[in-house]
Amino acid sequence: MTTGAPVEILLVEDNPQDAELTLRALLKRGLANHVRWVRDGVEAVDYIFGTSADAAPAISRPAKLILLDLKLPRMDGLEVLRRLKADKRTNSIPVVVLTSSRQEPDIEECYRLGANSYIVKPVEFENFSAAVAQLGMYWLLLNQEPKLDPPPGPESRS
Amino acid sequence: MNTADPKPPGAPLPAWVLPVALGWTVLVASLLIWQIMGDRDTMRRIARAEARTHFNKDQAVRLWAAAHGGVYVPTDARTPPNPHLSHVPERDIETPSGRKLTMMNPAYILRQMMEEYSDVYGTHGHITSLKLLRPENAADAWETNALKAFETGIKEVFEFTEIRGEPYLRLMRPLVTEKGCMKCHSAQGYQVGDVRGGIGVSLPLAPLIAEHRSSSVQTAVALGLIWLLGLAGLSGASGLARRRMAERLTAEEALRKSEYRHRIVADFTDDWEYWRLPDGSLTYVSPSCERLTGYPAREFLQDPELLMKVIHPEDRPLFVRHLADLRDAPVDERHAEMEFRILTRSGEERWIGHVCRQVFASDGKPLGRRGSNRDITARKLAEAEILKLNAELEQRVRDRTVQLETANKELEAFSYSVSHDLRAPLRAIHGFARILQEDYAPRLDAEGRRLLDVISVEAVRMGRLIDELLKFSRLNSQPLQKEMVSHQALASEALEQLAAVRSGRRIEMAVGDLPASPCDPALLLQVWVNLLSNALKYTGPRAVAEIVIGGRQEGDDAVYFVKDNGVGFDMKYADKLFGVFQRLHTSAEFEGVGVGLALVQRIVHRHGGRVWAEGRVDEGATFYFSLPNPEGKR
Repeated sequence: MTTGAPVEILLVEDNPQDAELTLRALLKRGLANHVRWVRDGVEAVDYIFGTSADAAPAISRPAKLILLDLKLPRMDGLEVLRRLKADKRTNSIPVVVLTSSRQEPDIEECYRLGANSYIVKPVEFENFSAAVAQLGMYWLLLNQEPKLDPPPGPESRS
Repeated sequence: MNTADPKPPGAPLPAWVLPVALGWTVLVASLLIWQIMGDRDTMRRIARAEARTHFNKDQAVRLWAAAHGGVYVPTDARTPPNPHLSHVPERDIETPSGRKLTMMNPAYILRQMMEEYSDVYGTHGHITSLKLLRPENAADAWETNALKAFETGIKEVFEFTEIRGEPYLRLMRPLVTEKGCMKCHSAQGYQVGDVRGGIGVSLPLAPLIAEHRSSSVQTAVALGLIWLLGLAGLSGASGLARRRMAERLTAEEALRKSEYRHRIVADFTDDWEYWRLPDGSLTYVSPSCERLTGYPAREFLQDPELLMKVIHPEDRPLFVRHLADLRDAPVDERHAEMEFRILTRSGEERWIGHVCRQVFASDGKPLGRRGSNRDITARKLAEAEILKLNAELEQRVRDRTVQLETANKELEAFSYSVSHDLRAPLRAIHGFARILQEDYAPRLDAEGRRLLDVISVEAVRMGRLIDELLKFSRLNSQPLQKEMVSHQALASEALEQLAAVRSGRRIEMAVGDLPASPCDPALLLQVWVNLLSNALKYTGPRAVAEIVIGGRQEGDDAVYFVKDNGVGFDMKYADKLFGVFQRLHTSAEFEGVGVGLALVQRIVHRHGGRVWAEGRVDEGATFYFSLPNPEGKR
């Protein structure tokens, strides 16, 4: 994890084991260099918008992909999602919900709020690793993001 | 009780019959008597006239003879000289030719005429006197009395009497001395004008009486016939009257019995019945009103407004409206019901079930209103009790529902946290065991690697258990979305879903006609999937799996089954088949966590159906389930 470089993936995850497994899976694919891990919704919102919600974002382009858990301390993932998608500065950032919940209401609510993808974390390590690796590859390498003015810093490696 | 109608009572003889018969008899008898008496009078008048005629004839002869101072006739044997006239000069004379003549005085002439020509002459006259010339002319007792009566100035004596047992009319008139008489009777000392004696006539009445009798018999016969005719008419009239009377009595009896029946029916009801006429008066109130209201029927009859007064003041407007409704109802539906409270004489409150109906005569004329009141206090109290219990029950249901909703929410929250939080550690266990294997494999021996494998496998199994449990618990909170479902389609879809399981196996599948039934298609698809996957699973050891899917309508239910030729089961464990996490086989023999059939049972039960199974060890099993399908009944 390199803190100085532009963040490509924002991982919002309160469970350190899950976070470690996720990071390991990304690492195996060489996608873990520009990952920023925050442990709850408040931290996530602070990171994206700065400490005050009214202020301009701390970073004009906070991340290329956000991996969002739903069940989080202080502010849950749904609220984070709602805020991201309600703000036009951030609503184009792909948000992949990565959660243990198979609950239909959660799935429906996430898509209603504008989640780009909804992944249930597999219990099996192999499946989990494969899922994380695939979604990282897809959103970071295959997916074409819209151009933003001005583009923040140098482009991430492709 | 049904008593046979007694025969109508025999009508008595009308009271007027006997007096009329008596009157008629008296009348006819009077007529008869009057007629007979009249006839007798006539007969007597005739007799008297005849007697007088005879008398006058005698008198004429006598007067004629007297006027001539006697008459000379030839003396012969028949007519000898009258010795009683010996004192009379020239009693016997001779004609110049020498024929001897003797004088006949009136008495002598008459005597001779009567004696010699009595047949022609008829009735015998009789001349008599108290001083006689001829002793044979002496008066009998009756004549003596008559002669004595003449001396008192009576001119005529009549009497119907008997002579020697025969009926006679006797007539006697005084014989007054005249100049002509003196020739013979002066010797006796009579002066002209003296009553010298009497001349009598005795008329035999036998022929007249006989005639009178025969005429009386005729009259009697005629009147007798008239009398009988009258009696016959009377008898006819009386018979007619008796029949009329009997008819009237029968009709009265029928009316009385009918009245009695209706009164018994009306009086012996527990309900309080009444009939109110259009003018507001009450024409009938059943005695039962007293039991209900405490007021006797008499008081209602005296004051019909009591009907309104007994009603609880709060309910009176209802009753007034009820009456208006009744009046406004269509003619053929003019009856109405309501319930109201009354206050009895003692002030007790009672509930009355009231029904009333407009009364119409057969010609459609309104005859007021017929009311029926029943004491429904007990029912009302029971209803109130029921309402109270219902309210309590509803409150309890509401409380329980709130509790249930709370519990459901808690369960959902619990499911959520189970789903989310229980999986996370499992993922960690599995993940880190794998990482250990990946990163530290060279340092682990075979046993170490086997142990790590066990950890991984069990973690995965627990994950599946959690998933199944969640699915199972979620079943209760989801509402059923029922629609008419083709089970043929559901079974096909289930088989498609199980395509992966089926691949590479030899399966003989037979699908029969499955009746459609109303159910939640998503849940029933789960049932079919679970049953078919079970069948596939337990036929695994068979070289050729034989699976039969079937169904039929049985009464109000649609029944479906899945039959296989798999390993089967022992029927003594049949009750364990559908329990959650209950298994008859180890995971090593057949994989699974023991939720599939429990899920089937839960889904079917929620639809109001049943599940059951038949099987024998090693001889296959058949799983049945039924769903209510009343419309499928033929």
